[in-house]
Amino acid sequence: MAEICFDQVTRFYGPVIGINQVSFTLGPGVAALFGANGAGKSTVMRLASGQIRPSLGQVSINGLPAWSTLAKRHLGYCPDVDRFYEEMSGWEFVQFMVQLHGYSSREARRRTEEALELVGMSARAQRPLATYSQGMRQRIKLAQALAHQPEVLLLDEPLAGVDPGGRRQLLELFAHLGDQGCTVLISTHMLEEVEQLAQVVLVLVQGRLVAQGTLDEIRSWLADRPLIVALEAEPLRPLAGELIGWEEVRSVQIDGSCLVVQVRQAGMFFRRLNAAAAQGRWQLRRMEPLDTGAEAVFRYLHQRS
Amino acid sequence: MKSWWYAWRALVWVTLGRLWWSVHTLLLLFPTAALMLFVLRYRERFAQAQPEQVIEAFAQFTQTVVVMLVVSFLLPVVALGFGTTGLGGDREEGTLVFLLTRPLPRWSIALGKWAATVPLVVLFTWGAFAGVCWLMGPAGRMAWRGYALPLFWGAMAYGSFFHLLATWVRYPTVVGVVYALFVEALLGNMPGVIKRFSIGYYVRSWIYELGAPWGVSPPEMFVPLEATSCAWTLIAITLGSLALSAWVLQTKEYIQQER
Repeated sequence: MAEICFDQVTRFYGPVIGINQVSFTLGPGVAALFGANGAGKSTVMRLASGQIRPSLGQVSINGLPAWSTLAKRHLGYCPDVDRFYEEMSGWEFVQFMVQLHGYSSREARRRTEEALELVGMSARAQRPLATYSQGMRQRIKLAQALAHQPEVLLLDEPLAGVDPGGRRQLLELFAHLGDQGCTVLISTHMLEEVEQLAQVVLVLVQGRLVAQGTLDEIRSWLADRPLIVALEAEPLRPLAGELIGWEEVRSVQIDGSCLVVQVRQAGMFFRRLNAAAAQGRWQLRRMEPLDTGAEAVFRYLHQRS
Repeated sequence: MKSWWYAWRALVWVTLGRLWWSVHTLLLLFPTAALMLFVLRYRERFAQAQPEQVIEAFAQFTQTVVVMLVVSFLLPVVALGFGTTGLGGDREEGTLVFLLTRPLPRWSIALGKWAATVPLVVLFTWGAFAGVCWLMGPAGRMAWRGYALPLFWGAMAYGSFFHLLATWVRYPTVVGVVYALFVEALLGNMPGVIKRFSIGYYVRSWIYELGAPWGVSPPEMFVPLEATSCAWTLIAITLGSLALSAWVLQTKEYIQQER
């Protein structure tokens, strides 16, 4: 069975820690590796693709150490770096990459054609790579990762530079590959890109895996996270008095014409606030969560982990 | 059907093509052309030479052209140009990641790059030397017959050494230039045993011994090693560099630097 397994993996770069005690197992389907820049996504991808070795722990692909040559037979890797043999055409590049998997020239040609067709580059593959747009280069990178029909596919920021129409097409392709039994791990810092197809989301923060689950599970955790909310209502003071008595509220502060409320559990608070507003005891004019940025979300998930 | 041989052959072939049709080849043609132009002028000195004076022309040609220009200049430059770019080009361009994530043993990638690079160094050097010898006439043809073998092993050793640098250091061309200037040009011409650190010393020693019966003698302070020792040393440098580069690539991690 196609599988990526990280077992208590830690990776140091000199004194700097890249990822810290990361463990997960992924089977067939599409998974998203989500995190801000510097969170450790590229380290996970490099470890899984066998470019680097873990300082501690084990990384395996289909039960084989990721560093080994055998593991790479099962692997397709689309790196995030935009580097090519620029003088080659897209077709020549993909064919060379397929040949490096040990296929004969004839078989490599057949697989190259199939892969280019799959990523929508058949008609434009004869042009030199140097003349390609970023989106086209991205598709060629995908083609070289797909051409040998790997069981495990590692895609590092695969949609960067691809136009919206192309994104939809490629996302459908990833979903199709996942349905076919391929284990697809997509690294991204834009979760909305892959939320439609990712069955599992791994969230990395500062080198630690802080959340792992379906998107719905992660959303429900986020719904229960603490939050600071600014409220404008009429009358203000009675509302403050009522809120301070709520179990979900940690503190209330009057700041000019608005209330700054520190909430323990955001989901429950909003449900109760809605119900109370519907009773008409006060008129709610504005409600604005103040710390919904990625940092606050990550901090919460980090503490929760 | 999959085969390691297909993959390795593709690696060698593509590397060879990329090296040959590169700007390096074009750049190396300039010193080669300059050398040939020099020989065209140089041979005029011996235009009136009688057949019995061919030996003298051969001895002078050996000193001036073969040792000073071919062995001490052209050979290291060609080896540096091709040797450091076979694998070093992939490192500098950031395309090495595509090779390292393929199911080819890493040592065989080093071997494949070597198999594309070093023969090119040999053929280019040999080609340039053959051209120079042909232009020189009878003395040149003597030189070709006598010195093709030391030049072959010199090219193998230099090419392999620069290939090793390409696997080992991040900027092999820079380190290679420093090596050529410091070790080959400076230490290689110093008196005493310190010149034994330079590859060129062994090629020159070998040439001096081969040319000795025709009056070719080393300069003062240059104590040549006997040809057999030179041959074995050059073979050892070739094989040692190849083995070491395979081991380095097998064990070293290459982390892509963002540009």
